[in-house]
Amino acid sequence: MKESLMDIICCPMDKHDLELEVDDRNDEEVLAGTLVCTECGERYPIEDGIPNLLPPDMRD
Amino acid sequence: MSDDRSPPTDDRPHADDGRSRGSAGDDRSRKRTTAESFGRAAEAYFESSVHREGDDLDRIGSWCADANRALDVATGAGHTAGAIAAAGVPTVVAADISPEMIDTAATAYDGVLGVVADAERLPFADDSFDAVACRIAAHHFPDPEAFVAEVARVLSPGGVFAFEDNVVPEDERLATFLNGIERLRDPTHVRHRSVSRWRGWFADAGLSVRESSVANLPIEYEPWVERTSVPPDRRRELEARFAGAPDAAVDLFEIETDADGVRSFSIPKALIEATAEE
Repeated sequence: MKESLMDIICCPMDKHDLELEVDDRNDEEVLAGTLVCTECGERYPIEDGIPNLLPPDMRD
Repeated sequence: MSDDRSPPTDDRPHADDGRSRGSAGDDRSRKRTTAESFGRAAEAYFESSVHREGDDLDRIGSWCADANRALDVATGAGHTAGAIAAAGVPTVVAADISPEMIDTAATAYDGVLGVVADAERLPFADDSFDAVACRIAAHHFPDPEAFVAEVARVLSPGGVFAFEDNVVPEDERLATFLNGIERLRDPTHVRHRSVSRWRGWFADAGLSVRESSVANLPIEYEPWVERTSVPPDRRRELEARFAGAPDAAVDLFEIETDADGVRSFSIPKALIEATAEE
């Protein structure tokens, strides 16, 4: 996930901003980490460089 | 704008088109009238001419070409996102409910940014995009009204919504026929909606239609049922539905049969360009 995406992504539930927690990255993008909603605290994973922003009721 | 333009189903006078009618009586004539008036209404309804096969992707690309940042909802393998990037849009975000699809799309089209997301609850801030596209996917969405409202929310004022999907005629019986066969072929099929339903949802969300057209998407029957591995019992039911199709459905969906059964038919699809309120 390119960090520039942080400008536009938000929590799908309450549309509040997300905070980025990085576990692994390279020069270009975040490869693994978590996006945390600053309002409701819901956590969204970044896996293989792709953010999964499905609402929690739609994730596995 | 008035969206109350559904085709008449009564005995409105119409020109003789030379096709068989007399012996079949009023009922048959009425069904034909329904099909023909849908065709006429559709023509009158839509400003532009019918688009050619394959044109749609170019058209969507050109509608989105002036955007700085575009979103493709339910991107699938990423064809539409790729076409928008190829049209010169610097930032293209591709969203899909399936992580595998997003992986495919982001790998196939360099520079396309993938996000796993639900079309009805988009994870993007208000006014994030100057163009949003959604191509032949919305019939999978259970709540299209929520989807359209989300598109309007993430579009900046004056932004473009490029939309394409299969649609049903306004006539209830013909709509039920098409959705019925789609569901037999693919039980995950939700529903094709009519153009007037879509236009109503667009209007409610503050999206005004700038251009729209309908075209028939031709379907070869055998590959179509093979793609979803339709089991034998449902295949028999499908073939029975086609064999018993009302005349108006045979006309409108261009159902072609031979001794072996159904050979081909067509599904109408709408291509619509709308803009968000300034």
